[in-house]
Amino acid sequence: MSDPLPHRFCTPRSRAHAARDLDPAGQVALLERELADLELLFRVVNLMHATLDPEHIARITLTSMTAGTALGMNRAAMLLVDEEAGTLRGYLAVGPQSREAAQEIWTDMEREPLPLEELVRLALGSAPGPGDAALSARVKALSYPIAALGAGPLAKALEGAGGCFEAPDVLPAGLRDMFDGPSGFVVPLRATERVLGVVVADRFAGEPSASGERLALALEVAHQAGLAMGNAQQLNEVRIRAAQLGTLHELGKHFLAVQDLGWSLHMLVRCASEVTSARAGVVWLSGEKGLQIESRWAAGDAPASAELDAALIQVAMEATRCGETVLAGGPENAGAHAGLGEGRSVLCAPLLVRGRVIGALAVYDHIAMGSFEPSAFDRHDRQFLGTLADQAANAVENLRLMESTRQSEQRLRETQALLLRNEKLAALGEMSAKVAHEIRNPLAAIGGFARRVTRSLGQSDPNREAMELIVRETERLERILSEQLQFAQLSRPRLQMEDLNKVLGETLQLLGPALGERKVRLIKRLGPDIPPLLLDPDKIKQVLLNILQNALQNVSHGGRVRVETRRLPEFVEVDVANDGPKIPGEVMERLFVPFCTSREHGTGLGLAVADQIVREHGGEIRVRSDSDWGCVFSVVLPLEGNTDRRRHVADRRSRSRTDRREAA
Amino acid sequence: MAVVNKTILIVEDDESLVDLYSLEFQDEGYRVLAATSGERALARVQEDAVDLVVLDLKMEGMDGLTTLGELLRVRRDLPVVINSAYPAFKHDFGAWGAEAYVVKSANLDELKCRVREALQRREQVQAA
Repeated sequence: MSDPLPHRFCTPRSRAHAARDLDPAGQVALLERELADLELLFRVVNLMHATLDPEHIARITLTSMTAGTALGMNRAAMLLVDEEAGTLRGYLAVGPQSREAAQEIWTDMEREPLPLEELVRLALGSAPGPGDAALSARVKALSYPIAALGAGPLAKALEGAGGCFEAPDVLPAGLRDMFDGPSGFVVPLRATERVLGVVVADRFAGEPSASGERLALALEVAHQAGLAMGNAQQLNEVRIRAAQLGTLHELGKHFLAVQDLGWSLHMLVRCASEVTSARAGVVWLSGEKGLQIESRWAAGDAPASAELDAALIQVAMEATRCGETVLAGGPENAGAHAGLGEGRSVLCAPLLVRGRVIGALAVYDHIAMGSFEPSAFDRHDRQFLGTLADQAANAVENLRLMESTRQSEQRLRETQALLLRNEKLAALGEMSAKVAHEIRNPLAAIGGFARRVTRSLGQSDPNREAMELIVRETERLERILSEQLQFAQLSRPRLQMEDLNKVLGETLQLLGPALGERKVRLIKRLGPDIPPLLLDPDKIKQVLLNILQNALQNVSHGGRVRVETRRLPEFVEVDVANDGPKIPGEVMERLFVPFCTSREHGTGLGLAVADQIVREHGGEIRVRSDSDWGCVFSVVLPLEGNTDRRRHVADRRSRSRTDRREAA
Repeated sequence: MAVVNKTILIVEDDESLVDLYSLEFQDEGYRVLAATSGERALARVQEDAVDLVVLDLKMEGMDGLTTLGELLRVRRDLPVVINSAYPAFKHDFGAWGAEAYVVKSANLDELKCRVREALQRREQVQAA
């Protein structure tokens, strides 16, 4: 793209230099022209200062360039520097598409030449004319990498030097076709410390030298335009910054005031989207399964799909991986994130708390506000999102912790309520049971004596019928009581905190005589650190009794029975061992199967019932045989939790060998 | 079985029931002793020759089950028939220690029957 310095491109001669060659009349004419130019410049500058909108300034500039009563060029275009991309990009153009259209305009102008202000007003107020729109569209499509401009007129202009050209071939391709002259100029838009862009203008009628005459004024107009646009840009940036800081402040206050995690996340994503001019945003929080979407916001109907979400989460993972805000997609990064879709750009910042990833915040689909804003997220947006994410991360983490604490508290309260209810039920049950029992005795007495009296009466005794009625009624009352008691039993959970050693002790006491009878030596080793357990004492006594009974039946006369309790990290274990003969494998397996017994007495239910009860308590009974003790039963009860692990009879029969027996 | 000379000890804290049972068992031909608490029951068993004990469970002081244990310690072959208003223990402890478990009722047929059976079994064992 580099053109050699063309001989047709000339820089303006200084006017002073030009004036020296003229006679007084000529000099006066020159001065008059200068005055007129200054006046025009003054008017143009006035117009520019009336607005802070960069687009308006651009229109004013280009209208000035092309107005017959102003600089009188036929066509003008503005190209602006995109610093981030390093390109010079077409921005706006004014002028007719063709010479024929231009003819029309001139004819119109000669009929009623409009003052500049009027033209500007028209240009700013209404939509551009069809000629303008077409030219503008073509110009907007232009984009030249600055590095590749070589030493051509555009490059020179970017260095601050404007100049004329007499043949369009000095211009790079693209512009060359649109501004085919035969003459024109390129002038820089000079702001305070840099060149914002260039204006290219040409004439396709009139003398070629006319461009040269207009060049000095054009340079000044462009300079003023550059200053004005520079100011407008700076003002814009300041405004953006202020808005962002304001938002950060608001959000910060909000996070402090509100304790609802869901609401805060919603505000966060909405805020991020609105400030960065994004169509939609998403926030993820880290969970057990990685990042999960917690909240999303969209302006109007934003597209959402599984593919989009998958692509978004990829970007989020990248951001969380490298711990920085990441920009993906957009016109420059098209290749890397193909899943995002055509032209979509995503900005994503990780939420980090002390270096730990707790989630991510992303915004996507940048909305271009007017043609001045780029259509992708810029460095301001990036910076803002990063700052927002940093600030929000801590607050979000705190809210999360509070939330989980709240949930724990809630569960605790629910459990307490449940326990309380159970206690009440238990009390109620006990009361009704108590009342029933209180009644039973007197009822038994009344009924019993009534029977006696009835028996003593003769068949024909007139009182017999009455007595029989009394007896019947007492029977009825007894039936009612029985039912009542059964019901009370059912609804009464009998779990209570009990000292297992004490329960064991009481059971052993009951067995004292039986042990004595067989001259059994009882070895008792009760662990000192057994904590109170939540259990039904009567049922556990039943369990111990049944197991002890079994042990006693196996132990030989004069043998030993060992009863031991010990505390394990998560369980309490009760061992009942006897030194009787080793129990064969097949028998051991069938021990707990109901109705399956090799004994003459007993129903074979004892151990089955014991097993069921222990399961109700969330525990297990295991049996083994070792070298010292022919048979060791181990009742294992959990320290925490009493989930009911009862099994139905059918399950038991299919249990495998390895289930029950521990390695000997 | 000869009912004659069989002594029954009624352990029951409700006096109306003591009266009732005494009358009923005397009608059957037994000699009836009574104790209104576990402690008194123990004393009685040691003082007198008792053939069978009818035992209530819920009593003040030493409760029925403890009394049962103590009675058996004193005389390990003493037949005890539990007569209680509480049906709950029927399947829990009834099979152990006591000969039978009867739920208290105005109808004394079952109680009388169990007593008779227990005494018969005792006689058979002693004869063997």
